[in-house]
Amino acid sequence: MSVLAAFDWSFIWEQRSELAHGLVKTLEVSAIGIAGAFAIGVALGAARAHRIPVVSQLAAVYVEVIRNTPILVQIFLLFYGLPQLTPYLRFEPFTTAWLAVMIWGGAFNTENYRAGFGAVPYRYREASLALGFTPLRTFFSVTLPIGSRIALPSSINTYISVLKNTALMTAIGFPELTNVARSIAAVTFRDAEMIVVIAIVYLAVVWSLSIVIRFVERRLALPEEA
Amino acid sequence: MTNPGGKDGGASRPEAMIELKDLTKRFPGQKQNAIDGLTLEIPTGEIVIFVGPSGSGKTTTLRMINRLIEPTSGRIILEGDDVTSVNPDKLRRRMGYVIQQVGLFPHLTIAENIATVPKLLRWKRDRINTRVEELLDMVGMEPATYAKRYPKELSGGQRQRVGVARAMAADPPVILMDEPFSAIDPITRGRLQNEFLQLQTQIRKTIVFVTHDIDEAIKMGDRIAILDDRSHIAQFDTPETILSAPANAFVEDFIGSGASLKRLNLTRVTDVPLVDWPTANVSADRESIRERLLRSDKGSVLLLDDEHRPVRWVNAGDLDRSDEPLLETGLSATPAIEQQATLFDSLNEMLNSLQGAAAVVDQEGAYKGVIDIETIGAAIRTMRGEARQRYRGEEEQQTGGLESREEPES
Ligand SMILES: Nc1ncnc2c1ncn2[C@@H]1O[C@H](COP(=O)(O)OP(=O)(O)OP(=O)(O)O)[C@@H](O)[C@H]1O
Ligand SMILES: [Mg+2]
Repeated sequence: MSVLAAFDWSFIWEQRSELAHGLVKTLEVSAIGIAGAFAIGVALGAARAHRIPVVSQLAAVYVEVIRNTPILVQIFLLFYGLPQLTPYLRFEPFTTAWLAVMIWGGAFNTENYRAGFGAVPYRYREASLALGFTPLRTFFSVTLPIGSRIALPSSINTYISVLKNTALMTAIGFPELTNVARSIAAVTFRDAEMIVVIAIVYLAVVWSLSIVIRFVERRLALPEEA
Repeated sequence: MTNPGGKDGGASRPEAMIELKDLTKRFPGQKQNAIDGLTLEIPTGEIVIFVGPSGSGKTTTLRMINRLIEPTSGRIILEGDDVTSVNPDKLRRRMGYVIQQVGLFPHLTIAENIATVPKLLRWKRDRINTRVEELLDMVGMEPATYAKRYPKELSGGQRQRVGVARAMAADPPVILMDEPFSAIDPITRGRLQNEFLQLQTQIRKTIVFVTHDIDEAIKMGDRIAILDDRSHIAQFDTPETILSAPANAFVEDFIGSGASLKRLNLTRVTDVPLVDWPTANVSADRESIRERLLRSDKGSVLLLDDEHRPVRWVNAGDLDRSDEPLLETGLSATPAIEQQATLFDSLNEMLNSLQGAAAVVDQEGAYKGVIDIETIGAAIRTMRGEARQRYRGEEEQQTGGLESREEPES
């Protein structure tokens, strides 16, 4: 408590608009990243679960590479590596930021959804096909809604990690929350205050995200057949 | 053909809705065929029962008819068209299928589950709602109570009924049912069977019905296919013939003991004349009831409530005990027998109630007449006579074939 008491709160208050800008950038990148990770997870998770030739194997390689390399290396590869290979793949820091978390989250989500779709009991798909649904329609009407619910808890964890991983974009100078805090600290030497403040902000954001998601989760909870 | 002799051996019969020709399935990596050359005709508008031990291939055969599993060889003919290689999604809309594990969609309500196929066919919302209510009523589930529930909020038997309703939603001419009543207690099952048979007299669908239960098969089937290992047909015939002339030891074993008792399952209450019984309203005074009793030779009077539903049997002794209210004397007359029930059900009820007679009611539960031991005795005598004639007929066919003209008896 005494540490917090020693903090210069008025100083932090003065920095509020800059910190707010950083937070907005963090949220933007997270939102795009989460939406993209969802789409990738559903598409590639389905390809994996249904063993669609070629796509399934490519997806497996993608998941392996992303899961087994540090995300910081992936960010550097996108930002510094690709432009050297071809000038057409030169991305802005903002683009790099959402692309990196999307690719990272997509890989983890592919695994989440592969497991979720795979866990849909066969009788539901059999019933759907027996009623005359095409395989595609069976996927959208039965496998997707049931499998997503099964995958929900693990995909929530992935989305929260996506949000936290945006902090790494400070490494490529993208002005998200962490980066803004570091810049302020660099000129004011008030590192302790800044770090504690952004830690609290991250905590608040993740908690509110969790609350929203828990609510959605309860609404969507699969009424399991006894 | 596995069914030589018998009346189904001929090439042409009343048009078949479904014909299976030498249908064979071998699952990948297995040494034996799971279904081995199944040839069978399923006549239009009839209930054909597949009955056989676990693993004999009943489910696999249904799945092949529906093309959920592709046959290794053989053909499937539906209404004269070879459907072995048509678009399976279109084919499946011509047949409802109640799968063995029901498979109600857990994320949809009961109403939404039943509406699945009508929605697929883009029916108007009003039409769908009307149809859903109609179907829930049909399977005996109050729409107001159940429409909005989720499958997990139903009992196993209720789920099975919703499964049946879902398969019938778009009124397909063919319905495949894989053990649709297996998770239901005997009393409810009996009632559902009766209701289903009643319904079938109106809708006249072609139904392929799988069961383990030979009694259910005898009661429900117009024809029964008794399947042995790998779906070899041990016998395919009417229940009457199977009971009176089992084709081989396997069929005999399958029918089990008490074949003659089981044959009581072949006759429905609607098929026998009902006995007239003296009746009186529950609120009638004892003197008028006694008078009615004296004027008949039945020994008891059946009391009916204001809606004409049977309530109690009372005899002279009960009427004499004037200290007890009428409704507490005598023997209970409920549950009464529905008209689709069989003589077997009736006999069972008679033995349970100790009355030696059972009251028969119509669909509203109103009194129609009585079945007594005499009725059942008469039915058994008729069946015995018919069986004897059939044996004789078959012998004549076999002996009177080629040159033998001289017949020992007339
Ligand atoms: N997908 C499959 N792959 C391999 N073998 C299978 C498959 N489905 C069924 N079989 C085998 O085929 C045989 C017939 O199975 P099927 O499910 O048709 O039996 P059934 O008569 O419906 O049995 P039950 O009364 O227990 O439901 C069994 O030996 C079973 O092991
Ligand atoms: Mg089966």
